[in-house]
Amino acid sequence: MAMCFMSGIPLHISETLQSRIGLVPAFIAAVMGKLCFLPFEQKASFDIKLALQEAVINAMKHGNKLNAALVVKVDIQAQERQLTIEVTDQGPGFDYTSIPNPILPENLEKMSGRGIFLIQNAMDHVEFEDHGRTIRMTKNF
Amino acid sequence: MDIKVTRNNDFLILMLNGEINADNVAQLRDVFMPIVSEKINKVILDFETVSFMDSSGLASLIELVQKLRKVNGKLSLCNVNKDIRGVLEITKVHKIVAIHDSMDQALKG
Repeated sequence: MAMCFMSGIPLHISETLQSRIGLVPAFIAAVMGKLCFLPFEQKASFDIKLALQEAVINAMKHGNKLNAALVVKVDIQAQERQLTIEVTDQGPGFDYTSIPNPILPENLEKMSGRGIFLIQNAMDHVEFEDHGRTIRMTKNF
Repeated sequence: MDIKVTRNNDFLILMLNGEINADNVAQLRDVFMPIVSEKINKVILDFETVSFMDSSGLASLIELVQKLRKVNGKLSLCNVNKDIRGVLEITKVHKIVAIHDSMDQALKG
């Protein structure tokens, strides 16, 4: 972790993870411990954790195909009124403009495809860069 | 995640504790799948001490529903906290899994 002020703002966390799912719970717990100083309600805190979890797991599984030689980079910055989370993988990218809607009746019982939908509902703004290898999401205080 | 398995009349009850996430969701499947049969087909998951669930957890619930459907069974959840309930509702998974406010209600079906 790069730096974190006890006051919570400004805050900058930069971390690189191998693509191993087993690393994720401890990483998420450590990040959430640092974010607890920010002025978020319980619901917003849950939403941020969910979005971060989904983004990191997506990057490892769908981006890097669980290749432990490939890494996921997570960059988190809190400024006065906004938290920004960037997650970047080293995979081939994907077409983020044609993600099936998981709440359509025909998709309701599919085993996957809810991660980005959850992120979009949990955060205030979500965008992709570099052919989908980077997801940037923001939550306003 | 810790899983405690109990029985109450016709019901198989799984009391879950902790987080249900991509790292541990296989535990739920490993406990659940070998037990369910034509005779044991009413299952309640007690979420009272579950603090977090991600999309892998949602997928596992759907898998359990599909397994139970094959043996004419039913999956119910109870004591789900507000945040997780929100995840179930926003993804419409609450339409295929019965959610009850309490264990008593779940046992009444």
